[in-house]
Amino acid sequence: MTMIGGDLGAMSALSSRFSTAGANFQTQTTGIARGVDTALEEFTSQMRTLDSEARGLAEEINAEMTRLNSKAAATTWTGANRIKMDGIVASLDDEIVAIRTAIDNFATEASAVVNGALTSTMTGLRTNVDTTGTNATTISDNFSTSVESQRAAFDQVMNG
Amino acid sequence: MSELTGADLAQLDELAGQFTTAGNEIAVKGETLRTKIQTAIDAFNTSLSTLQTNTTNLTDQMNTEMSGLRDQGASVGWTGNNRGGFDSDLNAFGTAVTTGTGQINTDITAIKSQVDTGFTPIMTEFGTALKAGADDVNTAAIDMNTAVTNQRTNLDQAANTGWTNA
Repeated sequence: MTMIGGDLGAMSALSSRFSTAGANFQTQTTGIARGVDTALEEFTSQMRTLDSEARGLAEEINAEMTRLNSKAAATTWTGANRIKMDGIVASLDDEIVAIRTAIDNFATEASAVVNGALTSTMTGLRTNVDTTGTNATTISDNFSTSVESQRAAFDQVMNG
Repeated sequence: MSELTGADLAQLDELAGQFTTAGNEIAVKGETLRTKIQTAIDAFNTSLSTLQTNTTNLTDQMNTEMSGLRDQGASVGWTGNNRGGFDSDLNAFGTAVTTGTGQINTDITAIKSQVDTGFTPIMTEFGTALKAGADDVNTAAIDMNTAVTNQRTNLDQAANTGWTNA
């Protein structure tokens, strides 16, 4: 014959232990989730500022080139060498425009990485952290309730 | 009527100087921007590494918690079919926790890799473009300075020296 029953005191302790574990899981995963949020927020905020700075620099370069080209056009210099000089000015202008284009492209590509795949993966991570924490907490709480119910059932049958 | 051939020497000097200064300043500002972005990426990577450490700790803590629950569960005097159900559910729980924390670790590793693969080529390309642009600006500015200086010298020579009294 097999005896059926349970140690009521130990079952109470086990139920409490599950309850405590559930709270611990919640606290631990909430800390990780907060870390994920903070890391992404700080990074996107910094990149947004730098993106704005890059675009400001591109504007600044535009304004500077307009000013210099006007100044070159207004410079008193005649003769064939002036034409050579204009060629050099145009070449310098092209190079500075190339730098401005590089800055524009860089800002656009960096923003695309931050706002696209990276944010998407970080959001996925955040979801997984939440899910893991919530599941662990819910299951722990369910265990706590189930063990307590089983203890109560034993108590009722044997002592009620 | 023929055109007057000549130049305002002071204007030429000023123009050459301003182009040179502008080219250099733009290249320096571009490099400063690149450095700031690299710093932001490095800081983000550091945050991710901290997260990875915290997640590893979380995994350890959760596994320890699960071991404690299993040990305590095993020590409870409790028989009947429901006990079997409890043990089975507890094993499934342990597996779910391991899977969940494993996924978090995998996600963070993937994000670190994404930062590397996403930003490294952009940063390298930008750095190369800036360097090439700065070099070309420098070359053009030197050409311009040389042209202006030569023109200035020749013009000065032609206009201000060699007069033979009539």
